[in-house]
Amino acid sequence: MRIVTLLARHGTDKYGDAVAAMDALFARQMPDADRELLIVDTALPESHVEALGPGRALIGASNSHWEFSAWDRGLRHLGKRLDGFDFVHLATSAFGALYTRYLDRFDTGMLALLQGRAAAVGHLDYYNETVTICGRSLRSWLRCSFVFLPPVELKLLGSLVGVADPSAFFSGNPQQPFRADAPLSKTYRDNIIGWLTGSGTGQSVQWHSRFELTAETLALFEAKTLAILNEQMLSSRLRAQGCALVDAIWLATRPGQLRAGRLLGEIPSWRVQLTQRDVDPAPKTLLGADDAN
Amino acid sequence: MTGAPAAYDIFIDLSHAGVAGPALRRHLDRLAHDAGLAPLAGCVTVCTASVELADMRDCGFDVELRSGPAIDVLMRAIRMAARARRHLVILLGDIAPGSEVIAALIEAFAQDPMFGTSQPRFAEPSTDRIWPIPGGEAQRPPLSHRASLPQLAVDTITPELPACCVVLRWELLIGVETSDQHGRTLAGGFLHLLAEGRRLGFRNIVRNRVVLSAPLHVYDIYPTPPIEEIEQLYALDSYAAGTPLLLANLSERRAEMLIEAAHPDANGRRRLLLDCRGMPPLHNGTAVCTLGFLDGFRALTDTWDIHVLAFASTAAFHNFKSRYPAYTHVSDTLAGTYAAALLLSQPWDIGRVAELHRHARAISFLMLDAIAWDIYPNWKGPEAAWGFIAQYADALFYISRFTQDRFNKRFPVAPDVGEAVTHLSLAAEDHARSLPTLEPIANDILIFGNDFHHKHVRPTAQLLSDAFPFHRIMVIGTANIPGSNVTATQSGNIERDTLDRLIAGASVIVFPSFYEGFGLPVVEGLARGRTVLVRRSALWSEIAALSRLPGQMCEFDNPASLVDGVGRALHGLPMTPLPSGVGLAAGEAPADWRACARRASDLLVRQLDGASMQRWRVREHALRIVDQ
Repeated sequence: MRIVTLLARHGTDKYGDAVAAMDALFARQMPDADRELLIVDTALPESHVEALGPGRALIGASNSHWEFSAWDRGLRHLGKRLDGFDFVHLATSAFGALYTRYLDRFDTGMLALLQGRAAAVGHLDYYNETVTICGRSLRSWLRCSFVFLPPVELKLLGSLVGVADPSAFFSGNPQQPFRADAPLSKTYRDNIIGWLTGSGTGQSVQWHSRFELTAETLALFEAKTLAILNEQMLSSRLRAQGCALVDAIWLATRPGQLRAGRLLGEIPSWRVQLTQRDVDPAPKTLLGADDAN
Repeated sequence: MTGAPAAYDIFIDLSHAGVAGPALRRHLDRLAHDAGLAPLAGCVTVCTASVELADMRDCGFDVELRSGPAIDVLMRAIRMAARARRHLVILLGDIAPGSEVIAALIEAFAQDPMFGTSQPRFAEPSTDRIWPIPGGEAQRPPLSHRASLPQLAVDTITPELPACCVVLRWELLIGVETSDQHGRTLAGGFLHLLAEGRRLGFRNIVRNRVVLSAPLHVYDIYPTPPIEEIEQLYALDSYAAGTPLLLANLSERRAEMLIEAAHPDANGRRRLLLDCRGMPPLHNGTAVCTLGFLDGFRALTDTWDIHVLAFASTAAFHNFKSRYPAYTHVSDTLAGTYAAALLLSQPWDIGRVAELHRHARAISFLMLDAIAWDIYPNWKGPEAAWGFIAQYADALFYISRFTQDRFNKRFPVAPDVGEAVTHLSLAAEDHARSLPTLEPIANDILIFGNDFHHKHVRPTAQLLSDAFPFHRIMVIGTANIPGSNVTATQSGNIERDTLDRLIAGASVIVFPSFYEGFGLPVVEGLARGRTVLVRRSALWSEIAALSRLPGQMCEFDNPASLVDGVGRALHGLPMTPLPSGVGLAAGEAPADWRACARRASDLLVRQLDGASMQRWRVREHALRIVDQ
């Protein structure tokens, strides 16, 4: 199985051990993978291209859209070679932060179930309530810090930057940072402000780098919000092109439940996947009254 | 919730899906929570077989359940959506498009005010492969690889195309007459409705990068109305009668089938068509060339799944099936799709080019020479075909550099057309392997050619008959040449063994042609160690430089030097042969048939791997103009 990791980072001041940790994960869990590593550093100029040994390189990228512009640069760097991989592994240097139990579940046997399928696998997050963004509703999405997906899905997307222009969203006022006519539901606005500056989104989890929203931190707020929008719109765009979002913990249980030689078949909805996790399952109430029985 | 007004209403037909009661409740729950339509939909109208057992409270939607004729329920939903100026999402059967799918379909309306209906592509849920757009064939084409989608246009404008998920623009809903459809089936009324929308000027968009996984039979994904309802439509809308043909001929539909054909099979092979319809059912140079390439491609069956197309008479004459058991043999007419097609001769008209284009992702041609265009300047077929392929082919192959130069001077080849000189075999073993077991037929002077003026056989035979009245002269290629010492016979009438024995028994071979693409008889004579006299040409220096054949090739350039050369050859006097092998590196073997085929194969693989579909589309557009 041929995998290329596009590891996005912004220098090495934070998460300086990300490359070593990633190498260790692959060595431990996927020693049979034929793997290449492309580190895309948005602190380096775009012209930077440095070979780091066989199957390993470091390139620079624009930081205009954080990890999303970094991955776009990585894909351009790979060019036609992209087709030679079974999976592209999108990762950020922060992949080891926040919830990480799903990381232990990746192996090539689990990924093999998705070979040739329209699916992206990673950690599925969800809100307590549905929100709307740009005329689409959204309740679940793939966390972008550690995702595997086939090259064809990236070719269909075109660019990983789904929301490039911030002007439709932000007011410039730290008291009310979103425009009144921004295409974002009220619940979504509350979730964003809660996650970045407050106590979270009502799921007893807090972001590690939250800050107070002031005139000085407004630019950071907008940039971080744009990154969240891009992360969640990536899931929405993948779904629109028919690419299923697959929870890693759910998928990891499949090989043991499928008889030898059986294929994965139709991929169930995100609600079914999350409630069928063998570790940290979502509550059955997520399914609604009929399906929960 | 956004608080923003709903963007669209939804009509769902479950009247034939067996979805009722609790199952209907679950289906609506899926649409509301998995598909995420609850916050965005306005009125949801569900046509179901029975409304009695359904409890739709708190299902997330403003639902109206209706039973009765589905077409009537649809028309009601249309009137309601039109009144509210909302788009209408039509869902036929047990499918659940996500809000992002619907949003992406509606986004198409912003691109053009006359895009009136928008639909996704549909995937088979357990494999994610894509259902082709229907085209009226008796047998539907196989499901497409998902990898084909990025190579298709983002959007394809089509004639009216009923499907299980379509969004209708509200401006179209305003314009259509909803009272006319009563009594029709849902599929029939839907088709009539879409045709009416088209008559208003609204076109259908198929979004090739928006995909809906649909657990339905393909006949439910693209429903077809009863024939009588189709005929009713044709009676009132003559343009609708052309719809099946329009769908079948959609450029993007053709493109999709060819992209699909270009994918390697499970063994990593692509399908290659070797078109041998330029080969006659007799022995001549074209036949040797074609058979040589077919022999050479036998070594490339790991790369290609080879199909050979020939006229039945030709295939029978040359024993194709027994000679090439590893190939698939096709007679007379072309069917199916291929990654690449190689016509093993020149095309004589644009029709042959168009035919190959319709069936192959990459098309290529083996140019033997440009003689026909030079000697018959009024022959329009080759002029049109050769001018076209010089601009639009994927690859052109030439049997000599000399031919490539002649062709390019007459038909300048576009920079993105791949070109390669394959040559014909220059390996002695390929031409001498069939040395006759019978004795050579002794003859003094063997003249090769045919009745074409440029071959210059008759004047040459007469000259040599006069100059060497006591030597036996054998002429191959034309009949009725005067001279008591001359025996002449038409080409094509001689068995291959007899020809080989004549070559083997010749004291000197004369090839007097003014204009050749390669000159196989020259190489065959040299392979058998003969002295061959040829009229001075850059072609012969090229052939000599790239071969190491046992015979000697000497040039003449006027009658005197021809007579002098023949005299020297007959009497064993010193001659000045063209330098042999000087174009080959040390240790490099001259090209055999396998090498010739590999040169063609390598370029075809490069063209397939490197080219975008844009080249095919440009050619498609040009051929559609030709078709007008």
